Amino acid sequence: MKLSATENRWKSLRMPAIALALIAVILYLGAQKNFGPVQYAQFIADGLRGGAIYAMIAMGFVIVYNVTGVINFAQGAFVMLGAMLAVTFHEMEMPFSPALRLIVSVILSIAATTLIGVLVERLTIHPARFSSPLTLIIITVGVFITIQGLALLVWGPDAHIFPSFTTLEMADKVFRVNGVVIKAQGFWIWGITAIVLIWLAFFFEKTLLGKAMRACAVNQRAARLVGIRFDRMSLLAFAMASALGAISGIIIAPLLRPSFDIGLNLGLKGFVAAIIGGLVNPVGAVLGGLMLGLLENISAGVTKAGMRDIYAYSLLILTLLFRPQGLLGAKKTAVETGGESRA
Amino acid sequence: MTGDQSPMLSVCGVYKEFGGLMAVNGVSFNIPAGKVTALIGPNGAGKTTLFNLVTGHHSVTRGEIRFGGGRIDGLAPHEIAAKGIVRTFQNLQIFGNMTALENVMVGLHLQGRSGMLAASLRLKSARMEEEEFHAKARDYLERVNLLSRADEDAGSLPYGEQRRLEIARALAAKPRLLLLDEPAAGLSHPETIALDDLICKLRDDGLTILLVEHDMDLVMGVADKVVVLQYGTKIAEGTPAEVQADANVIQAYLGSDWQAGDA
Amino acid sequence: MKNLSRLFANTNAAGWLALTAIVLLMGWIEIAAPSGFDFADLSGGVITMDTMVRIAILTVVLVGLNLVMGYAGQVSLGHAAFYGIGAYVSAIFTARGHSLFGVSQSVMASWQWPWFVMFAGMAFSTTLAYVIGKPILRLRGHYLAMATLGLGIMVYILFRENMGVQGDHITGSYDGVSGIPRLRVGEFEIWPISRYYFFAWLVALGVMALGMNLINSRTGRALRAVHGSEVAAQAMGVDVAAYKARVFALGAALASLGGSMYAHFQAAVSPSPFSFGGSLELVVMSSVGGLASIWGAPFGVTIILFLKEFLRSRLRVLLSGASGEHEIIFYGLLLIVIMIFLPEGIVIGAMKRWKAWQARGRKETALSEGGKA
Repeated sequence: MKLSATENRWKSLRMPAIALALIAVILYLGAQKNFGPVQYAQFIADGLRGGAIYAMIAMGFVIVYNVTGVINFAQGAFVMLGAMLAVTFHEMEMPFSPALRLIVSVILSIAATTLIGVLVERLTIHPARFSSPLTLIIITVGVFITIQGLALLVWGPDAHIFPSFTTLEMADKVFRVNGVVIKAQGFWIWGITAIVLIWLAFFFEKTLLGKAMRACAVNQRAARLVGIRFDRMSLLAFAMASALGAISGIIIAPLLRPSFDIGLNLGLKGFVAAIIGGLVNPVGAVLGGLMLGLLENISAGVTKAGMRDIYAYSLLILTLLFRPQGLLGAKKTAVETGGESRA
Repeated sequence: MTGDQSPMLSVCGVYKEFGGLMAVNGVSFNIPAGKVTALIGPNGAGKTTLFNLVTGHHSVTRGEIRFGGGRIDGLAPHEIAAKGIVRTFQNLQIFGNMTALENVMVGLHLQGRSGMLAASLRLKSARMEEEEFHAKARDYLERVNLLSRADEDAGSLPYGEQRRLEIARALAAKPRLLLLDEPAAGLSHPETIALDDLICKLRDDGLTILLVEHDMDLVMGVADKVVVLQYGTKIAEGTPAEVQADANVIQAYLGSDWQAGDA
Repeated sequence: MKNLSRLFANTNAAGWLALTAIVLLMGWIEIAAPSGFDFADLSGGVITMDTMVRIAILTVVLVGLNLVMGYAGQVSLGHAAFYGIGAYVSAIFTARGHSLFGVSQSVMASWQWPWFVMFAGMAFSTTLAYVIGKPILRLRGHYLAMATLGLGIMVYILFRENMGVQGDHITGSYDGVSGIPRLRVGEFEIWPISRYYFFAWLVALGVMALGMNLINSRTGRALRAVHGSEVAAQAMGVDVAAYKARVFALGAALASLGGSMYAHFQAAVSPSPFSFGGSLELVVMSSVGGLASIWGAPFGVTIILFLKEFLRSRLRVLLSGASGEHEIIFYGLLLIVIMIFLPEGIVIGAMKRWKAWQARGRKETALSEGGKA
């Protein structure tokens, strides 16, 4: 299809125009509540903190989807498991200093969650790997429900406490910069997310195993032909995704008093971030996460706190409808790709 | 060359690009009405892609496709089907979740008009249409010799029968132009001969057919006109005899079975 | 009468009549209680009138969901949204119509008003589903699942947050809306519960019959064709996008009807049944009963509701100290096991196996007879 010059210009201007209109609406609503720069700076700081978490969860979706073509609905369950297992291990008696106890419980939690992720792949995804996408979605939904139900059984319905990484207590150290409050845990979150993402970039770009996984994403059959064991890659993808989920659950745990049911919301937000980023694009997932965090914090801030999720899911649906390739993805729509591969 | 005074379908300078790769590279040809035209070429020559362009399952990058005088490139597949171009698929696309009879009844879709409300309340119009569809669908199954299988799950039929079922389903849609995508693939020798007869019979009934096929015996036996593609480009066009004698074609197929068989 | 019999011509007549008979029998036993017979006592509290009414209401919803997911193959993880819209439209307009919208008291008091609201709710859900469905249903597989999921959660949040407005005068926030009147026909009130039982099952059986008629029609075949092979359906002239949007709208209409019935049954609505968990429960019921099966609807609902009641009453004994909704573990496991081993659901899966077994039997008889001749 050929577009005329004016149409092209309009298309290139559309996204900035929408963004400007959105900012105008936000500033107007903010002005009604007498918000100044301090409030906005606070929203941005909180938004980037939540966004970093979403980004890491989104990476879990992207890795599994790229390698296996499955949307792993259970990703949120891994996040919850990471947080809850860390709490449990931390409550155990250990002959260590408080700092070491924290580190050990974090490592144990990541290891245990990864093991569960591997089991999930072997027990549910692997036997059904030839099923339709509908079946696979419902299976991962089933996995999610089962894990959440077991978590309720093990940990009960109450919220638990996990100490801040800085103070090793419930109360976190707080930095104040010109009236903007930033908890020390926020820096841990940014730092750990950055390290993990850089490591992932290195893994996929430089290592043989990472390249093999990417080959599966590009063309499964070709990857098989050159001797890549697809089922191992699928297993590895689930292991990595569950580890990522666990890490994100652990680093946010001190901020949110984790309970058995935190997985749904965090998992879905991670998915929204992945979609915004185009689902197959790791860089997109990170930017998508940050964008989602900013948008929901600012728009909830200027309106009503309970409406926070409405904005996140509106963004999901608008993205799916108008830019299914993601806000940052290349030009190829979900609609078309589906059609071409089947015809 | 055969006279193209009244082409049913004309493909004019059509290009199709897939992510930088030209799958179809400026192909033009006509399909004369009431004849069997065959599209041949080595694997990856762009035959199926061209098929998908004609039926609207792929969009044309550049060029025009005309059918009965009007342009059809850019139309949705169901709109093209409504104009009378009906196809079968190389990799079978049977509705496995329905019986053989119901598969054919889907082919009759465009001839019906009853909607959701009439159907769920079983109004008289819907019932009449349903009875008519049943009778018609059985006729089409009879024509491909599948009537005895009418109430079986289409997905559980043997391969050759599924191929025939696809043809019955396509015929039920009352095509003006029937596109057959490798109808002989996977068929046994007697089945191929039966297919050969069926195609000739359909042509004698006045149906225009475009055929993509690897089985050269079948092509040379039934086709009135042959178009040869290679690497997305047309390299020859003419009667089977003309094409077989064409230097380009011999070059393209050098060492392949059909040349040896021809000798 | 003849027209009526035609309406049910496509229904697997024996099965449908059997279900009707069971419904009538259970109703009669409950009302007449011959020699003190009581389901609730005998079944340890599992089979009660209340559960039976719920099964009928959810059957209405599930017939719609099965048409969308099973027959047309379009994943909907947000179907509870339309169920909720029906419930809340009925609740708000029959309980708060005067205070919110200035509907006159005499209109509010008339017996026709709740019925009118019920149909208006259906019309609204249908329109909404069609308008939203048209673009959303272009998406495939995962994308569609997640878009419907997002939609479902958004609708739930709107209920919970009083439509985003301060206060709780519209949807009543977490508390919901109460004081919903019972349905009436003239002076005849469809209450106590035994009357509502017959009403709910009348609707459910009717909806099942309509559903079965639909799937065995031109429209139904087009829907199934979309599921079987979208490209082939298009090649046969089926306007795939239009059919998807239409079936989505129909599914929404039935969900909305079920929602209104639920509101008048409970006399109060709150947001929680329409959350993501509610949508999931519908999907579980649908998968267990068999996605591509009208019969799967009542079976799926019955199995899950009985399981739920049973686990609720027994699990506490089994797992002392357990609190909360542990039955979800079993939903999850059930979902996984069924999707891996019986992806067509219990009803269809069992039917297929039965057929295969019968066919084998026939073949063996034929063989042995051929041997004799």
